[in-house]
Amino acid sequence: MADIEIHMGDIAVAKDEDILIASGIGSCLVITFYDPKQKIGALAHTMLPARRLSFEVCNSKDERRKTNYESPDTRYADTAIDEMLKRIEAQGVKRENIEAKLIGGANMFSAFTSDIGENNISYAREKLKKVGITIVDECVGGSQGRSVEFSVASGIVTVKTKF
Amino acid sequence: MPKTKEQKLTKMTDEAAKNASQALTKLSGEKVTVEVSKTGITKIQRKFPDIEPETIVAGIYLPITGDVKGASLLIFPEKIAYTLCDMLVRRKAGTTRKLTELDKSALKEVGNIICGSFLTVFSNTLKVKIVEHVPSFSFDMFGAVVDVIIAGFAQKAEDALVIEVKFVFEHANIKGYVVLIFGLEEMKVIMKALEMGGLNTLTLYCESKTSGAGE
Repeated sequence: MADIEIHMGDIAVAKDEDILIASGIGSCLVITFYDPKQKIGALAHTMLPARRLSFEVCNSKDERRKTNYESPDTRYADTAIDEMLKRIEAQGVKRENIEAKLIGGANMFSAFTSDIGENNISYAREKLKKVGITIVDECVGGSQGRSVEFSVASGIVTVKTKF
Repeated sequence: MPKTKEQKLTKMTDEAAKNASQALTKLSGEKVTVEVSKTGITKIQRKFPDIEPETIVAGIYLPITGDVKGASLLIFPEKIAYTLCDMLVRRKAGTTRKLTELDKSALKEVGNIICGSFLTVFSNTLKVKIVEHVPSFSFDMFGAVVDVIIAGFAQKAEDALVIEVKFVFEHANIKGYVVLIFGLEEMKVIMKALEMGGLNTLTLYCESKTSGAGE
């Protein structure tokens, strides 16, 4: 059994007694996948909806290829979902058995004009629908920080707030 | 970073710290000395000030526009925010247990003063127009407070220049962090002005430390 802390932009697949943890989530969006039959889970701690803007900061085709195609950038929900699917399916999980949960996407500052949190939520919902994954529960939005503990053995996702 | 550029940057931050201390002295009614203790380049995704993600902090966020666009963030851990409010609102030490609207407003003003001091010096020295906007307040887990700022710049920049500053108060022990971040394009303007290539984000990380009661 291990407690595995998933930092911003990271993903992990786990099984047995492992607990996946993501602490202090604000606008970031945590996406969990769980196969209740095989008791295999995955968690992504995503920061942004899609990688579109990363193209803007790449000056050359080589850089662009390196940044966006050769290694999946799991800071973004779109690539993180694809990568989680790839890894969890490699463990023998069937897509139709995967249950997804979304946590986070808060707006911590009213002065922050671009609502990254809300964009993260809506993009993830769209993307999951597109790849055929069912969302079974959500704890999203608002203006509160959250911490997530995902017990892979039970499939239970516990969301903590400080207030 | 070339030594001459580092010296220029240090000179700027020293001047900013001096201005910040004068303004804080006026606001708090106590003598405050601000010192830059260190600077460094780091990844904004990973190496923010060493506070645990679930630690409750008061965060004051001020958007930055003008020739350079970015964000400034002032962070005080919970107990330190209370101590600071005791001083700012002229309460007996150790009496603030919960932040009122007045406390939040006072902390926002501190954000204005501290961040404004650094931004003014940067603007004047580098000859770039930097406009600081109305502050916004959040009191929650550190990770949650900073992740929106990190996310906002993660798509534009990865490296950050971190500058640590200590604030020495006369009668209290205060620790805080000021973080200034500029995006890649904006940072080019600053880099050009500073003539130090290679960096793409600037973070000012200030640790305010005072002697005596508090923490």
